[in-house]
Amino acid sequence: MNKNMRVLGLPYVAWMLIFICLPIVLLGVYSFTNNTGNFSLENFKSFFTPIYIQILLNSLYLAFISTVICFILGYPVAYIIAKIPSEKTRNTFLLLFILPMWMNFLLRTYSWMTLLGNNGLINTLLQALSLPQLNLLYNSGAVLLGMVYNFLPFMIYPIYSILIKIDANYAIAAGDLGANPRQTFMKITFPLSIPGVITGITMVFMPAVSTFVIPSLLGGGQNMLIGNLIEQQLMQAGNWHFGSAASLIMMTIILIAMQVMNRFDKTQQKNMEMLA
Amino acid sequence: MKKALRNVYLYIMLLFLYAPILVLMVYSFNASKSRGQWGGFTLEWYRRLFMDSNIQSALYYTVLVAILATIISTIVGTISSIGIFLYGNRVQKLMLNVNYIPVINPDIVTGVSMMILFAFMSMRQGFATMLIAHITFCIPYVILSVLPKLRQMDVNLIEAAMDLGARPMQIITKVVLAEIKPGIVTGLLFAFTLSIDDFVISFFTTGSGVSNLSIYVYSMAKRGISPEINALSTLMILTVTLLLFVINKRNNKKTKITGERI
Amino acid sequence: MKKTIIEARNLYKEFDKTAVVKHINFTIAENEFVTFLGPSGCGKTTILRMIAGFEMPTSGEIFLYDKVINDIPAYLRPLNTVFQNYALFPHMNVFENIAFPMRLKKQDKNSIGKKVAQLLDVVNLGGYEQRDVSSLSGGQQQRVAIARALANDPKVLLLDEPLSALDLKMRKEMQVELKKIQQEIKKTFIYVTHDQEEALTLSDKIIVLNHGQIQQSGTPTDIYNEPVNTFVADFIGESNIIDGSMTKDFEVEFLGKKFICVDEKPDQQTNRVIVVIRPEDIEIGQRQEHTINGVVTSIVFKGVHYEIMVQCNDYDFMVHTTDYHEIGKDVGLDFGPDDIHIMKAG
Ligand SMILES: Nc1ncnc2c1ncn2[C@@H]1O[C@H](COP(=O)(O)OP(=O)(O)OP(=O)(O)O)[C@@H](O)[C@H]1O
Ligand SMILES: [Mg+2]
Repeated sequence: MNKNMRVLGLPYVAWMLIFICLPIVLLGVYSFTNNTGNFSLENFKSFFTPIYIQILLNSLYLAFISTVICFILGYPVAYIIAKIPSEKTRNTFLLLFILPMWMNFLLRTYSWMTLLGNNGLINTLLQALSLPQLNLLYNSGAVLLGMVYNFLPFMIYPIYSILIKIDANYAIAAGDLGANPRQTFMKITFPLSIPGVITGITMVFMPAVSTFVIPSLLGGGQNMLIGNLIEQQLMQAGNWHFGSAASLIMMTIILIAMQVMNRFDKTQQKNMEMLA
Repeated sequence: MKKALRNVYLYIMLLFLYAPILVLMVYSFNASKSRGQWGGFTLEWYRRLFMDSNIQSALYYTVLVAILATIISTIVGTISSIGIFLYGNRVQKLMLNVNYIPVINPDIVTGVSMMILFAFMSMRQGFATMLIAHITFCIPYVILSVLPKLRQMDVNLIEAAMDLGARPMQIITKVVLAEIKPGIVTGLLFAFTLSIDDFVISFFTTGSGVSNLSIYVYSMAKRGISPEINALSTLMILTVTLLLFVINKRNNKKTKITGERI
Repeated sequence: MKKTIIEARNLYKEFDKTAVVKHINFTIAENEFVTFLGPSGCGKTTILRMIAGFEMPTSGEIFLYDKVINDIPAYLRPLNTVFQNYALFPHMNVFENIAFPMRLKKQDKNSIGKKVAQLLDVVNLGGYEQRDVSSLSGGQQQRVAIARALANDPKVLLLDEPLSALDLKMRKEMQVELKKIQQEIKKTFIYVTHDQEEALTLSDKIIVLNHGQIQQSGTPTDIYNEPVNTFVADFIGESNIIDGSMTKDFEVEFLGKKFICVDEKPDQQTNRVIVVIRPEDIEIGQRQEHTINGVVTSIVFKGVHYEIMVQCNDYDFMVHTTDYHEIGKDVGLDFGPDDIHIMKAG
């Protein structure tokens, strides 16, 4: 192997230019032009009107809430699994919790339709108990549920990976220095697991902001999120310019969010070097 | 007591994760079309499924795209990794950053931007565009799996091979490939699962007449619940579970032989 | 007589039905520097962890003064541990690490600051408060770990091979430092090591362990000069171990010669005994009537002394001396009655 063999990388460089860079450039070009192909800020102007702002805020809000719920539900799961003494049991539980990640995303979302629908399982059960039926499907609660359900494993896995790596001696040392189990958790274990939490938050928040499948299947027509807006503009309304602008805005928000998270993570990074 | 509580929590969460899927699987055998009641056991929906030419075509495209995208992206990704590996720090970093874009970009942005690209290049959307899109989002994962193995590789190995008279190409085929094989396999599995599971990017890059299973499920589900989707879901879930089981078994066997964890 | 602070009675521990610590008894006095010494796997760490409270004894009691502490959890015991890999919290700087136990007790800021500064002084790291623990050298991390363990004013400090991660030079320096710290703060140190030299340098009292049993305990001089069995003799320093026989007290026969010694006959059932002679107790010189004669087969310079192997009829003696003797030279080996240590055979 020598430097001449760098040419092996060139075909992919060409591929990246055409299929990764160019599309992003085109997305930018489309956002800043109008139907006639002239430069214009029209798309952004119309995006920043109350209706669309509301959609954007709603997307961010639901993604945020679902991230928080995933964290509250997922951290204990990761913690409990990491604390299981037998390696075999631990791996089995871990596998069970991340197995859903390999199941088709659509199917997982769809499965809730069966449960929540007007004549779905839950309402059937309610009926059998002669309780009033509930409108469970096609509202933002259902969207939230779908998000939590789909993305929970993405929170559990990175937190678990960090927790399992933390040297057990830190907790032992804290106990030795007089910390009770609760203090040990709050002051040692949890702070050391923050990088995993940050990865988990990123892995839940990002897809939750951009999803259009979940609101489209579980949210019904009224609960439009930014993902739906983009999909609608491109596939139905045929307004690619506006759709591109919306994509660009969403992408920018996500990149900024990730940057903030990374900054937060950097201070933790050097700490983690000691754990490695 | 505390331990019991922890276990209860784990099982409740598992119930939350698996109950919907199990209910869906059970319903796929329900004779009654309205899911209100249990109308007895039936395989009717499976029969209809296999008769449905749309589903057959969707299955065909799903598998075909997955296989082609996996093969192409594994080969291209591996070769490119070697090329990238040989570049200096700065160029390498730049290449990897671009390579990373499809990984961190939301699927919908990747899908939309490629859709615009194909329009720009006046390509009619269909099988070819979908395949290109799949290859584009699979290669980065192959590279991310292979490159670390190249970095871990002992440089002395290459020097030893040169010393023993191997030509550059022979070094790659006889030494390097063997060393990075685990990374290639990981990349290949990554590519396959991503491709076979993809919905969003396929949705934006395919054209009329060509859909994969995910797209098909989506379009049916938008119209409401139907027992055929339940049957299809059951089959897809069983396939994935079986596949994972086989991979796991294979890994376990390897573990026993080599005595190390993979 | 010093007051006993830690006592173990009939202490027994098994893991998966394998006995690791076998019914041992020991006492440790206040302000004493006590070392558990023994080969790898003999149960030293296990004993220390039982004292610290990280491990429950299978049976037997551990006393702190006159209270049994078996059931007191680690975080309530007035003992602190210095861990082998330091276990400094990576997300806290030096100051925060040392302040950690005081913060738990909600002490006020001023006194915490003062105490940390004082502790850093003790371990010779004044001014290092704001440093990141990952930026410290191994020896410095070790000192921070000691300072942190002292922050609670523990009655006893437990140290499990605290110097094993350091290089030789650093280790020597830290040995001196440790001893100084212990004398300065006047606390009980319980120390674990498999390095006999370290144990001899540091300890007031050494407890020699093998296979979970105490072989001998006493001052370094006692242990070195009067090993009670061949294990101790061989483990502490190097020894020439020779089969011999005794028909009466104060006279032993080995290698075909009779010698006067200072020990009584150890076992009335048999005449067989084992004779231990330290290499540095042997004088090497001209052959004489009363010497054991042999030929030099090797000579190696060990920094301070030469290690010479002398082949006598049936036995290869190891001799430490500062004089040079060339290979092949005929020599005689001489030693006095109190250089001969007699032990029970078998
Ligand atoms: N948690 C445990 N489970 C099972 N066996 C253990 C456990 N801890 C220690 N042992 C076994 O007990 C024996 C004594 O271990 P211990 O760690 O006390 O030895 P040590 O004297 O400290 O050795 P070293 O000098 O190597 O540190 C060893 O055989 C060890 O394998
Ligand atoms: Mg030990």
